[in-house]
Amino acid sequence: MYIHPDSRRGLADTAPLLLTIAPLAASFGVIGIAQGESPWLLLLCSTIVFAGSAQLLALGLLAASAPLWFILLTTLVINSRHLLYAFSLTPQIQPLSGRQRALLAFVLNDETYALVSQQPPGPGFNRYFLTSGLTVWACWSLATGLGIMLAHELTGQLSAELLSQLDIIMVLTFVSLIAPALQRCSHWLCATTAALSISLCWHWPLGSGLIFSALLAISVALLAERYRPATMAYNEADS
Amino acid sequence: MDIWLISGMALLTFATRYLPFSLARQLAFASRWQSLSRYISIAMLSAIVVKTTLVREQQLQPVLSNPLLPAALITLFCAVAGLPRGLSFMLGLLVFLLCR
Repeated sequence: MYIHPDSRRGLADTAPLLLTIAPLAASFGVIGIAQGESPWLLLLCSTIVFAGSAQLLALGLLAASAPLWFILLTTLVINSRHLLYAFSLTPQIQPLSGRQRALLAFVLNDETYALVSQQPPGPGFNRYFLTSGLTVWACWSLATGLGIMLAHELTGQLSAELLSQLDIIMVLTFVSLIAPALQRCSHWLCATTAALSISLCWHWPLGSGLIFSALLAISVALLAERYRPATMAYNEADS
Repeated sequence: MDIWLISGMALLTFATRYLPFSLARQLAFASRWQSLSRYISIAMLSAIVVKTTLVREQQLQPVLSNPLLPAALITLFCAVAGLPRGLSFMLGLLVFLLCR
C-alpha cells in the first residue's frame, strides 16, 4: 500500500504518543461504564467531541450531578487553549479551503499541535497535520471502545500510577520538539517565563493556570523583543 | 450523559478550534503574526511540559528524586546541543528508567 512520504512522517512521529493517549481513552470508557453511562453515548462522545480532558472532567461532573450549563462552560474553559493553538497555526493553514480547514480544526489536539507547530509551512504541511490528527482521533475512539468492552476486566488495572508513568513519553517528545525552536534569547525568555509561572499557578481551576502562564510568557517575550538592545537585534538578524 | 450534552460539548470544542482557522486569511497578513505564533507554541508546550513533569500526585515536586525531572533535563540538554530528536528522546528515557 502506497503511503505519501508526508503522511508516513506524520504517522511515524505520532505513533510513540499513542502510548499515552490509548490508556487515557480506555480510562474514559472504563470510568463511564462504571458510572452506568450508555456504551454507545460514551463512544459517540469520544468520536465527535474528541477532547480528552474535557470528556474525563464531564464524567466527574456528571457523577457529582452538576447541571448541563456548568459542564458546557467547563468544556469551553478547558478547551480555550485550542484557541491559542489554532491562532498560532493560521499562517500555515491560510492557503487551504474552508472544508480542509474545518477538517484540520476537528482533529486538532495537544499531541498533534506539538508536532505540527514545529513543521515548516509548505505543501506537505496539510497532509502531515491531517495524518497526525486522524491517527490520534482513531486511537482515541478505538481505545475508548476497547475500554468500554473490557470495562469489567480493566477496572482497577488502569491505575493513576500507570497513567502517570506513561507521561514520560509525552514529556520527552514535547521537550525534544521545543528545544530546537529555542533559537533566540526571547524564545528562551518565553519558555522560562511559562515554566516559572506554571510552577506557581499549576493548581488554578480548570487548567486556567496553563492559559495564564502561556499568555504571560508570550507578553514578556513580545516586550523583550520590542525593547531589546539594538546590538542584540543586529546579531540575531545576522545569524 | 445524553445526546444534548454530547452535541453541546462537540460544538463548543469544535468552535474553539475552528474560529481562528476561519479567520486565517485576515490574520495571516498581519506582519507580527509569524513571530507571535512561534511564541504561542513555545509558551504552551513549555507550560504543559513543566506542569506534567513537576506536578506528581497533586503536589509540586521540583526535586531530582522525581524521575521525570532529570529525564526531561537530559533530553533538553541533548536536543539543544543538536543531537537528533530520536536520540535525545532515548537518552531521556534511559535516564528515567535508571532514576526509577
